[in-house]
Amino acid sequence: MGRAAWQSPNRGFLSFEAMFSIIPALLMLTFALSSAHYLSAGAEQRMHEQQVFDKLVSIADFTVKQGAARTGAAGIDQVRYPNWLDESVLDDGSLARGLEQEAGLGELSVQLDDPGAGATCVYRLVVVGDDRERIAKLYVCGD
Amino acid sequence: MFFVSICVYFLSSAAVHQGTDDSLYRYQLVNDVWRVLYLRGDFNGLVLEDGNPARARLDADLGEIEAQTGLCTYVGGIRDTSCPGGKALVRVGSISRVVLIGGNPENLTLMVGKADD
Repeated sequence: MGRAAWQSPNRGFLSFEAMFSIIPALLMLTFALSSAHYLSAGAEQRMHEQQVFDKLVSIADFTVKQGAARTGAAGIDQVRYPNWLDESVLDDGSLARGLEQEAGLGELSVQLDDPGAGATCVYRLVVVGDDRERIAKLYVCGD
Repeated sequence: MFFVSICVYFLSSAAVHQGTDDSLYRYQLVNDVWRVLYLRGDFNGLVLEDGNPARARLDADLGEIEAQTGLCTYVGGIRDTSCPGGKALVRVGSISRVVLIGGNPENLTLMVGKADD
């Protein structure tokens, strides 16, 4: 029986050739996709960490300069003393609760005591006491 | 395949070594050191001679800050550095301010660093 003009004389060989070129291409594609997934997951994690860190830095700055800063005599020209903290504001806890909601953090603590290991923390140097007698670290931790 | 592997290796190593950007925070920390010294009155009546009470206060407060934070400091012309030299030093930042030293306005530089772990 004669072969039609469009039929390849070595069809089987062509199929194998196609197979051997597609398999590496598929392997490369799979490898590239899994690598892209790994890289994007890492980038997402780093972005989250940077966001939390930036929020904590902002909260700490606000606390030191305004939220818990000591103020002078009441009036229009009320003076604030950045880095000189009113401990009663921190002990109250309402500042941390308010900032936690504002910043959209799951957990936030603003305190002078060492929080130990755990959540992400930043600290700021402050003075406390009526006569500015003590140098302390203000810890702002959150997640 | 080899080419893709090389690309992934370089991309991932570049991404892994990119840490948190804390440049603003470091600047704030240096300002904190200065601000604490100011609030404690350490620049009042400051003169360069040894034995000056203000200078002794400044020394003591910087020592206290270093003990609490693990940072090291250098105040130009006033206090020897407690920082390690060379590659062991990670620079946190520095600021310059004009203060009265012996009644004359002088530019004082505060440098804060930390030892590389």
